[in-house]
Amino acid sequence: MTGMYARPHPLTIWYRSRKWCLLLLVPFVRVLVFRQAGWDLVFSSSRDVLLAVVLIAYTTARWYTTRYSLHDGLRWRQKLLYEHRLWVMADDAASIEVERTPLMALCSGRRVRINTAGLRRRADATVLMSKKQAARLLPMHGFRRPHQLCSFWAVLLMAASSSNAAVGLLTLVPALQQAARLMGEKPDRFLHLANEVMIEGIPAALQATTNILVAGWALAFLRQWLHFYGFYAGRNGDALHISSGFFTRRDVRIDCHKITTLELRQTLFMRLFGLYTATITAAGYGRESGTRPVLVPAARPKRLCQLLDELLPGFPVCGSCLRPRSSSWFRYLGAPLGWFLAVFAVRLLGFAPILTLWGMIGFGWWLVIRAIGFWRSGFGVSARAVTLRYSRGLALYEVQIPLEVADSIQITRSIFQRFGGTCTVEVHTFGEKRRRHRVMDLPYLPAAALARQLCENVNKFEFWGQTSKEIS
Amino acid sequence: MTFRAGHRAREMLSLQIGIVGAVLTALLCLCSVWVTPWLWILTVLFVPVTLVMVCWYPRAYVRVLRGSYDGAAIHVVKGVFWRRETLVPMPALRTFECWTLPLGRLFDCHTVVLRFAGGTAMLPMLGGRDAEKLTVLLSKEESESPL
Repeated sequence: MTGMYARPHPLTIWYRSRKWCLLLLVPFVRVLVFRQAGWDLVFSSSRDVLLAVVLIAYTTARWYTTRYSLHDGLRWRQKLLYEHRLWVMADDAASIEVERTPLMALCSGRRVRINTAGLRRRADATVLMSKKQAARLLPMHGFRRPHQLCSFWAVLLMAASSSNAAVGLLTLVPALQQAARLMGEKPDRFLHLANEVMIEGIPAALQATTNILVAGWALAFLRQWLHFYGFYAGRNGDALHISSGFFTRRDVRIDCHKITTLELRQTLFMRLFGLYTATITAAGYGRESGTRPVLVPAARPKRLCQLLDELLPGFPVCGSCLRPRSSSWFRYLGAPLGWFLAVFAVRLLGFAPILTLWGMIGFGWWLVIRAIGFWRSGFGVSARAVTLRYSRGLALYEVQIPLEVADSIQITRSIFQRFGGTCTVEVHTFGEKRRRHRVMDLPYLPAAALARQLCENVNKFEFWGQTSKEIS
Repeated sequence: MTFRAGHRAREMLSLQIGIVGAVLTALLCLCSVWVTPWLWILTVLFVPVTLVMVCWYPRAYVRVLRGSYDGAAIHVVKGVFWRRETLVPMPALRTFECWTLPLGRLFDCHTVVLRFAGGTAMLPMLGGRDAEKLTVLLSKEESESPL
């Protein structure tokens, strides 16, 4: 890599100024919506167009004065109204992501995001560069040919069951549709709640809500599936290379030493088919909102183990677990069971049969997840790793944390837990997103002993990668 | 090394709860006058609650607050209604601070803040001597650490 400075790709102008282009539509909006005409229209439109032109010109000037260099990391400088310089050292780069949208593919450009460890919402540096430069930054040679990890149907299933809108589709939408129909057909039942105008408005509002939920789920499903389409992963030395995406192709290189946790996730739907999703927490990876740092989108246990052995050989895991006592079942199942029985009681009394049926299905779904979560929950410590198994929302999680990444452990006991001899264990780790992992209602004395053991093991131990101190 | 709440922490906590209770009661009184007289019920309930909290809570809090440092990890226990134990292994510790607010200077109460990569743990209401001893031990441990 040379030390010469280069200008970013001209596509930078489009991506930075496209929001100002909306100002060019304002004159049309004035004509169509506000019915302006004559000199009023000319003056106000000139102002909007001039503003847009000035902003686009400023963006172009900024692009013209920007330079970057890929010598020993990234050096970036920009000087227009003020001077801004940025250095990212090669050793500090935890992950490098190269993105290619259809427009970039046409113009031979690539968006490169470089992330370092650290708690930031966005990438540390984002540069649009030519395809050739990006290929030098993230070389494809040297990697064992990455192979497709998961079948088409497995990815489809994962996308269908993973989005939150799926819950709305399966439970809330039919309930809302029935409620809308009920209210529209029998307004006299609800006269004591609202006046006639409000009653006429509610069914339409509920209907619109169901349409939005259906559309929302469809969009979320499509987005997830397109994001994980053609998912490839491979390993070369100390780096993982992950590639996925249909329209927008993303290639990510992750330093394996920056991987802090390994998480196995399973929804109820995926459990029916015996599939798991493996995600990693790596400093700098999955920082953007809406992204999930997936390593294996969907695979059965045997295939999952093979893939993890290949991609993360030697990653420390802990097999054994301290489990909650059987008498703690109420803590896990109390809430969903209570709601289920309440809705069931309403149904028995004969009110809103369809609505309550769907309510029972929804709360029943939650109850089943909680029951499986209770059966599987646990907290374990080995010589090299900590493991936690719990349910959160409508999914089951199993988290493997290398010892040196566990920052602190918190054991909380409410008044009732103090009487019952139980506690809630929470492990804090370093990572981009989910940094807290919690297991409810474990026996207190064994859990406290395990927590002590963890602290002792951390102090006398050979590191899997780097400590959270070095990473951060 | 073990540490507990400062010997004047109870007084400081009583004063803080008393001030907050008085201010909230005054606000409730004002709301009762301006918004609705029904809030007087809440105001009347609030006074004995504040008195009970001033008399009982600081004693319980100081009794519970304790900790230890054995070179491997820092262990802190605090909390009255929800008992919280926090263990921080030494390799995870990044930085630590010691704060003393003006009221804390009057009552010789200090807050030690431990920062690690994934968050923060706070040790409130430590006595001056304990806070100083702990910070000296931690800084010694950090300077000897190979990292």
